[in-house]
Amino acid sequence: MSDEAGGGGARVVVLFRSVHDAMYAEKVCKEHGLWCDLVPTPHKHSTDCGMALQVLATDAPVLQELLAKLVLAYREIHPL
Amino acid sequence: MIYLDNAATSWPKPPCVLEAMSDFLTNKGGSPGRSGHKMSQDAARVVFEAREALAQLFGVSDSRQLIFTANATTAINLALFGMLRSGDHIVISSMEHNAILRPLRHLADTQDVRVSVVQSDRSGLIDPADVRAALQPDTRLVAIVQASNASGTLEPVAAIKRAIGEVPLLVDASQAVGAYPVNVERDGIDLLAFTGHKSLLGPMGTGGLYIRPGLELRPLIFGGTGSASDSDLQPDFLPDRYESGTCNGVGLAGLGAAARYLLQHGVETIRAHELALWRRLHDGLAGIDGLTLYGPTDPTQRLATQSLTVVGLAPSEVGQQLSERYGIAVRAGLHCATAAHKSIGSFPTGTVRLSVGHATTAAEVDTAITALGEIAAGAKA
Repeated sequence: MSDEAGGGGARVVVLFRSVHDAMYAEKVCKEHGLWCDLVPTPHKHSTDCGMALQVLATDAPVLQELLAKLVLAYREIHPL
Repeated sequence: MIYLDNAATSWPKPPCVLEAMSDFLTNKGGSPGRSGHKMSQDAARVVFEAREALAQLFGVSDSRQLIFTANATTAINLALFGMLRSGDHIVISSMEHNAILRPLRHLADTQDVRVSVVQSDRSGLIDPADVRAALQPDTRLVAIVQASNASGTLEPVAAIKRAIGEVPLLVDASQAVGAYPVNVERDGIDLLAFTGHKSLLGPMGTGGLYIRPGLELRPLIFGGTGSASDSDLQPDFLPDRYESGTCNGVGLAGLGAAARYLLQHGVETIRAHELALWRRLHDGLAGIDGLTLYGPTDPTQRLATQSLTVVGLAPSEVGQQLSERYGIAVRAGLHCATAAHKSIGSFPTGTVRLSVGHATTAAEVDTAITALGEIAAGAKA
């Protein structure tokens, strides 16, 4: 999904343990029509060299609930 | 060339496999999961989608439990070295490949691992009751080949798991995946080793190990995973725990495409096609004087792989004649499975192995039957 698709809403970045989990969360977002964008993990949040997922702040609770149902734990959520 | 060596490696691959590999190298090409830029993301997505497709194919609910390795041998080594400790006991069958036998011989020689071997019958079949009888109080693992590369025999894996109860079961499914509807959760398989380049129709250099949730293995390889980079401890989460080092991205692009091809066309459909060809081949060969055929005659107990010997000729001579006089590719000898050949009665010479594939035609099988008839007649003359 393009960055523009997110509109001007406030965003949060969701950190995962692994790239696989980030990819899985991206798949879940797409399946449920949630805007998302994979980004390099912001250095201020982690020294990981992996990927994180940007979502709209308003969608974050929905995504949290979906991931919990799938037994897929996100690690942290930070505002941008 | 008439290619009847699909048990060694499948050929031809579906065009979508070649296209996916070309697309990966041409348009993606970043290091999967090691950077955050779009090319790395695209590459990581290819690996993710391959894992998801294979999980669907193998009946795995959580694709994180599928670990990619370079081949089935590496997967088997990860399972054996990861599970077994000094003095542990393991039960295997007499139909195992050297991929199982050699690491176990090393573990027996260096760490006093004790190995019990369950003898098959003459067609290569293992009796689940015999496996159960071989268990000891400290049996750590049972390892069984799902389908023999020497005889095509399909072992009763689900019944073996029922017979051994809580003891973990490692299945070497190198020959079976893609040719038989393997389902790990249905059959209770705890560890499933597979290769990508045989009936899965993917490229060489791909394979993997399914690890049942809750089963802890010591990693075989330690190192960078693109995750938890601030720590020098190996990650404790899957798949990263067992996937250190850059993966074979282009190979997994091809393997993912192959898995989706199999999901689309159906493993059962391909199995029906291959068994119909096996029936044609078997019945044609059975009428030729001077041939001995190996493996079960019941198609529900086998894959389409057919081993045979010709009276008066070494398998290598038969294989050479098939190649040079008739342009037919087969594999002759012991197939890295000496114990299996001892079990089915074809040791020490081994056999000539004909293995049809998804693209083999009835006309090609008929040509092979005619060729073997002429070779057998020539041997008697």
